Amino acid sequence: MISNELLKIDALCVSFNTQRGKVRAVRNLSLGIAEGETLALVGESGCGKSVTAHAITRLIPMPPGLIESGSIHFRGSNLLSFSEKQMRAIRGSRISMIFQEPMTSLNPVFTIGAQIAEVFLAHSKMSKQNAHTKAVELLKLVKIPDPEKRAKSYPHQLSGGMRQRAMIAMALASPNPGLMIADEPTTALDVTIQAQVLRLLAELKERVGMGLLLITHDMGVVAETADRVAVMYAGRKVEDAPVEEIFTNPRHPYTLGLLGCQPSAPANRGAPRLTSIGGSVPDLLTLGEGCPFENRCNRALPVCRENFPSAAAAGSAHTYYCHNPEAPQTEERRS
Amino acid sequence: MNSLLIAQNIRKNFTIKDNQGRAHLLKAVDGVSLDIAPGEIVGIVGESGCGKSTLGRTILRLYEPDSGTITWKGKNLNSFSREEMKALRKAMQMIFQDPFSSLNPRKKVKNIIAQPLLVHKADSPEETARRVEAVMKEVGLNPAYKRRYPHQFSGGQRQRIGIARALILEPELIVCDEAVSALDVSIQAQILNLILDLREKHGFATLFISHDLAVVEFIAERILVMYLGRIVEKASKTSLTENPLHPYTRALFEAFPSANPSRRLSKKHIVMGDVPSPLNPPSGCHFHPRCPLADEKCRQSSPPLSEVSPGHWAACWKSGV
Repeated sequence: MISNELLKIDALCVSFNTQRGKVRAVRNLSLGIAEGETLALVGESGCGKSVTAHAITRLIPMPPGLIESGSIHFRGSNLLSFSEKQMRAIRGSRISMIFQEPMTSLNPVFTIGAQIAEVFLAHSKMSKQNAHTKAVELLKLVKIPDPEKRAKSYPHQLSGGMRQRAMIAMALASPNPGLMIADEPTTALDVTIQAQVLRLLAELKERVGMGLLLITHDMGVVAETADRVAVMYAGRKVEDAPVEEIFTNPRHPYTLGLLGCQPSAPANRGAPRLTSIGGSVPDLLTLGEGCPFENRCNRALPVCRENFPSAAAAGSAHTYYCHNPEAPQTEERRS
Repeated sequence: MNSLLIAQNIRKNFTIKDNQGRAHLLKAVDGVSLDIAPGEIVGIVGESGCGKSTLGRTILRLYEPDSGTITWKGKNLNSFSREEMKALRKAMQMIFQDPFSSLNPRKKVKNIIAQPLLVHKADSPEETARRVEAVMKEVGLNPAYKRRYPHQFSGGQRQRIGIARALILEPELIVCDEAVSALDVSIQAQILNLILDLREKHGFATLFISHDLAVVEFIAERILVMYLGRIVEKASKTSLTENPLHPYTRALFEAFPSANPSRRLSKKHIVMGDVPSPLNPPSGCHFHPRCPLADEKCRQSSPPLSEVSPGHWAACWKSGV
């Protein structure tokens, strides 16, 4: 479908064996990211968005985890067929990751500069001196003030925002970054710092030309950064569309509900109560073959309990999975 | 004078030792005044380290203030004895952020919710059981689950348990410290609506503390904005959102992600720099190193909180007083 496809996930199923039984964390997930595109993967806790990210980098602990079926193609080659050695060459060079809490993903006993230089040394032949110089250049690129001095700092000596910048610098420490996976990169940050980091990510993406898989629960962050949005619920993708489409013409009742319960949503301005979705996320252990949102959905039909709907298209780039979708928004109502 | 609670010029300092053993003074709350009317929802918004949680706890005298007075229905709390304070605590309750660590994992839900009644020796066992069931129903928990333990509930249900525990003594003031921050957004909406429903029914006042501007903007009637221990702006919700006066308040609004992809941050002016350490705050107005309007006066002296228009207060030399 997309000619310059960077990443293509097809029918991915990931499960975990637990004491209580098999948890199907990701079910039949298909996603695509084009070169240079930002795809936001949105959903609430336990929807499988982080598991998807870990499956791409093959960082799912196996056992208890298991990638049951499906394929993950990165620039044409299936990552699931790679050996561990081949994966190590990819991680940190073609595909890099930044995580929610930079304090736990940085090593506390090495300086920031040494940790960034290590990425250069692992993936290319260069002198330590040269790697250090390049690390300082990256710290400058992510707008850390006084980069020479900061390269000699330990993670605990930096503020949360600066640590996340250092993580981003590390993710860029590659001759050819293709895809950056950012798992809740700003969730632990204050709102003014979040705004700075989001802007930095957008600038860098433009400059380096990499694709970005942004994992978040925050629709505000999605609105700020994404080109395209995939909404997940209880292991399933329920809707996938360009960002304006998701916000103005959501077709899946869950997407509509997720937008409606944001306190900043236009419909909630001055309203006496927030629009809310009743009930809570179902237990993944007990989910059957039906639509997982069925028990909270105000549009549910008997068929929703029976089987998960197949993909329906609303325009060329908009797909949703629903037996009884919301009516499309007309142009007048959008404005 | 019909305020439920008036706090005047509250200061709370902590002494922090660095790794060389030297003591540093951290002014967590630096001369804050506020008042809450019966049944009113007052929101406090600010980033981490601004002192909003310390303020909430100091008002309940969970921390002793270093100076300042707290008046409850016209009576000065500083003069209260332990016994009097204990009796008064029935009227003021707290809901915490983390529904995992604020509930005792070894106690059954019915005992957690009944605990405040036992502490205040309010009722007979039969009456206690009846009230626990009634309050569970009220917060949307099935009373059939009263013998379960906290780990058997989801995050949203656990926060309902916390609310039931706060509600059972029929308080007149509830302090909610980041009460919905740990919850998923669909659950957050349920809990915010529940707090509003219960407030309507019972008429308690609420001090709602949060870092999330959108949540505070939705729930509060009056909003206080804090930055490094001080209040920089206070106003009614409409006045604050339509006409923010302090540059920090404006920066907060600008930085907040909008729910509209066509109005992105890249087109807006965003404030740069980090929040300075509260151990060593900047001179004068604490916001001056990040403020686009700052001049010599802002660097040298701290602006007082003054009433710019009726009911709308700002602490800024540039707010046009």
